[in-house]
Amino acid sequence: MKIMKNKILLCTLAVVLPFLSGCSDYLDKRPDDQLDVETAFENSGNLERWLAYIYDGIPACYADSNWDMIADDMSTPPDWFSVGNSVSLYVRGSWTPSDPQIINFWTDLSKRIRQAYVFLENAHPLEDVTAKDIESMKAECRFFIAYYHSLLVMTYGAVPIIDKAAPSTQDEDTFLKQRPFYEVVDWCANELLDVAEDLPIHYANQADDYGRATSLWALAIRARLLTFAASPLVNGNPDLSGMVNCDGEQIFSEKYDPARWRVAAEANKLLIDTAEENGYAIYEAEDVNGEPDPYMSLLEVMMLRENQGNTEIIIPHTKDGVNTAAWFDSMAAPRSLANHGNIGVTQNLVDAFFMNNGLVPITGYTSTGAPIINEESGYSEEGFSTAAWEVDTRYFYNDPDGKEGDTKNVITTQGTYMMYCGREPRFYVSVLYNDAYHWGLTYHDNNTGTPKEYTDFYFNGDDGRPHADYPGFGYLVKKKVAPDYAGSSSTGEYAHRHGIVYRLAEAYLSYAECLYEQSMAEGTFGENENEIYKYLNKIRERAGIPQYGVDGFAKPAPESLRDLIHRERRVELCCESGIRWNDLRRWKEAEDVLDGPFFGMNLMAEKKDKEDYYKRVDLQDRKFISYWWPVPQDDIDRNPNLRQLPGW
Amino acid sequence: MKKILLYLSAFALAAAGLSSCADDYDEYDNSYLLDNDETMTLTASATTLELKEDTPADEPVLTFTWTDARQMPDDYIISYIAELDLAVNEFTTSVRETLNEGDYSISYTTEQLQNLIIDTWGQSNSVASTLSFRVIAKWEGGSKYAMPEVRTVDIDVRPYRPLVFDADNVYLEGSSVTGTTSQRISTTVEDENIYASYLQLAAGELVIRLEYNDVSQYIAPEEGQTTDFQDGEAVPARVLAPVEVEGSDKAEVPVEAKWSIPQDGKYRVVVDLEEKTLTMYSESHPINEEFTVTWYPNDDHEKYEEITTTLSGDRVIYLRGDSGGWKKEGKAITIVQSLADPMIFVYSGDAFNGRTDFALVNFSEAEFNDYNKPSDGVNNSYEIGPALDPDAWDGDGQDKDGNGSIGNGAVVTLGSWSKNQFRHGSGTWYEDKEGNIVDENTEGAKKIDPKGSYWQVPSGTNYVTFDFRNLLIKFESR
Repeated sequence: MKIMKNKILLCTLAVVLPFLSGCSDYLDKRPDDQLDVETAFENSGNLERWLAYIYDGIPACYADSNWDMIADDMSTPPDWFSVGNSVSLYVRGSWTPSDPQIINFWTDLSKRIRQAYVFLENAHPLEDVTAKDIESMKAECRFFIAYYHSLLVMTYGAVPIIDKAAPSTQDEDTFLKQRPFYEVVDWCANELLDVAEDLPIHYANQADDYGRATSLWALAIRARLLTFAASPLVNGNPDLSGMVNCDGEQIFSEKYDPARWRVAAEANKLLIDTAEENGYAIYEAEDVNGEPDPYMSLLEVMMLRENQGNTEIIIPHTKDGVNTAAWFDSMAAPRSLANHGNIGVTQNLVDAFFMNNGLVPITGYTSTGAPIINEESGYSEEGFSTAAWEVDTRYFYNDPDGKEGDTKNVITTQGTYMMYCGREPRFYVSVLYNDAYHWGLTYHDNNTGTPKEYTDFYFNGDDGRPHADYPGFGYLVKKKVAPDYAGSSSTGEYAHRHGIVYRLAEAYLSYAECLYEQSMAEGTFGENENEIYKYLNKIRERAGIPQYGVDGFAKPAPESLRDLIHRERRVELCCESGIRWNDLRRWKEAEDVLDGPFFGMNLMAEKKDKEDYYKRVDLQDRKFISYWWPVPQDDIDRNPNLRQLPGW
Repeated sequence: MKKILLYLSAFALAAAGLSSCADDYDEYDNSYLLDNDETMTLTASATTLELKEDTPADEPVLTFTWTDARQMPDDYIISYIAELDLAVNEFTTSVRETLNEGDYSISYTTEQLQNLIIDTWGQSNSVASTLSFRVIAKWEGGSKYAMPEVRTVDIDVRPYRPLVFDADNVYLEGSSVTGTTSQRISTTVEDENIYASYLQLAAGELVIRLEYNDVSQYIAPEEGQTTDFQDGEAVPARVLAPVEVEGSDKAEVPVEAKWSIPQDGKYRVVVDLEEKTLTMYSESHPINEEFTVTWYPNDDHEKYEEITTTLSGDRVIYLRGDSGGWKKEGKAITIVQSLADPMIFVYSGDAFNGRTDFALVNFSEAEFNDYNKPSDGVNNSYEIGPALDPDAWDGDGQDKDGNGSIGNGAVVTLGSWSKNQFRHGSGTWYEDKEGNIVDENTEGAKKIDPKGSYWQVPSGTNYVTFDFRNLLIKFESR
């Protein structure tokens, strides 16, 4: 018995102390080395720390080596491969289960799950912590146990259900076996539904407690998980039929169950209804005339906090405060402004955005990677604009003469490459391209007497190669980056933003997708058509582009709608919380999209050869290994019950 | 480890005995007093045992048997002491029994072991406990202390988990459940002991799993009942534990707990934990009909078209009177439809009291604030008010106004059902004692003025159950 207790002590110290050292606020409360499970729960400070450690597993929203960087949204420069950059190594297939993990859920979240169980077993009311507080904290722990399992099962496919706090990692692993995918999914989904009833919609003290798990968090994670679980990757995928656990049980179901889409649609609708009943809504900003302003809407939905009126955030990542956001700003802003300028987006993402007329510009690619252009859309890759394009918006960051309060502002200046002209508002708040007017550069350089600065991604340019920090595919990311960042910090209110793990727009798009798939499977598209378009169009309306079936804008044929739903999601939710990475996997598209040449602009062209720069060139050869992340080799070696995922 | 403890224990006993007679120790041949020639052997009928709740109460499930201890001179009288304890407690909390010569075994029933493990030693019924049994052969009489013979054996005993018809969560599983392997269903709004769902099922097997204290058990029909689908029949049910698969750590659903769903379709599944019944309804069963009222605005059949309102889902109605205000719009409240019976709705919210009626409005949401007095003077509301009991019209207090209304409010008792009626929201009419609308000149006809009738609701009322199927209402404070 005493031996066991010591193991708990060691285990506890091992996980708590690294956390403590990372949180300066708590350093004065550092427990002495006599801390064990019993004493840890006799002190409200320790209790909060324990809970904070569990929260700390929420994947960061601002990072340069996470799941947002390994799909076709964002990327570090391709030739960082030569210096061992983990993102570059992974996307090129130079990766094994023994490598350090870009996604470290297996090791990290398992620990946090166990610590949540320790909390459940040991936390009790204290003089300054009421029984009600403890119950609430325990509900939070239960949420995280299910949430982290959902991340594990969506990432690794074959995972155990951790159902208790193990006395030590090693003992526990000896017994853990991977369980069938749907067993884990349905267990999580039920847990999340259950705990949603025990968590509050809002906390009474919203100022202090904002960022703690609510019932909407649970419903959102449940909806996301069930949407994943209905998708082609796992719903009747014959490619995975050979994957069995140590007892020979099949991990993935070979049989397609269309009702999975129904269950997922219901889960998303439950989330939407509950959120809307409680005051959550798509964030919409207005222009000076009181009309909807899609540019400001799309900017501010990522920039404003809930207490600034952003009612769209369901799960904020409040730890992503001013410092991480400013760091991300510096990584994404042009090098001449911020000394970094290396987090960019891919040409794939640039191509995906709709035109401002709501049409798709590029419908596919030839075998050589050349775009197949939709002539009807008005999209062109020939030449440069001959005039500035001005619209009714308060978004003045693209306008060389723009200032706060202007009724109209320029979105593209004269001389902009045609590829970037006439695109939808989401494009302009997400992508920073070459020769674009940049407010931050101007603000920064006003002090050096060089006003009205434009990006210079050319070879030998201020922001381009051959320097190691450059926009990898010819673009930097603008989404999630404060437009008023000016070198050392943001100059305005956008500095204090939170990360966003889940926002209502995702629920709308997931619901439309699931209901569409359910309807196509059941033959009820006619009955559900209006509902599907209702939610799809809510997203398009906010984005400022024509809605299907409204004002003469045509609805597509039912069988073509799937691609458009996917595209809407792809551009609305780009660069956010690993959504694209998971979408490409669950749609079973990753093997095509993430394998082969990745194109971008010709970064070897100098400014004097402007037209040469704007040519698509092959910049990276990617190799897709597996739809599932590998179980770390250490764990495979330690636990004979574990089986590695296919492809590794 | 345990052997070492045993040896130490034996040594301690021996040492105690030796010290008590150290003076004489060398003077006699006392080898028979020591344990050199021990002969007793002890066997247990099993080394692991899983207790089953359904084992007959008097049936021994665990027997310890031993053989004779060594022979001693006639002046020594032998007796045997049997002790059983949790192994970790090392006989500090043992139950003890002294047996006579000639008794060479002791048995325990399931009930005895279960009570010992759970009640006496406070162990969990979810894990096996290691028990230690020892038998001590000891002698009395004789001139010297005789070393007892001690034999100990350990056995792992897993207590049973009592089957309780209760649940923290209820899940629908089996091949008839599509889209998930496990569909959690909710309690109904009106009764937390009733779990229900109205859902699409496929032809196949339906399994109803109750999760109680983290343990799964399954609903099966009582003996003599069937798992066949019986539309609308409340089937008496029991719970069964999972069946363990031999040679594996897995457990399966008992075959008796697999209910049959005959064909694809929507079904209403209702589990009543208090009544211990399972009721399943097909989509075509009358219970699935929703409550519908029809009326004519101002009761004017000629001027207005008939209005039909079906109560479905979460529904806004209006609280009026002392409780909701006397303004024409009263106070909007939401009533929630039951999953077990679509004609049952529940209000749960802010407490109210005093004279109260409810109004159902045929709105046009935009018009709802004006429902009681729309611009054209047409009353398009429908009142839910206390039943006017024709037998009580004459002087028992219900008809205090003498005009067919209960203006002072019908007194209701919290927690008991009262009758209610649906009535036109305005206008007066005449009814006979059967409630038929009749001409005012008909003998016995009474004038009805419904909108002036209220319930007198006690303070603290914050929960109202509307049973529109039986036209009953229940006010509660929860």
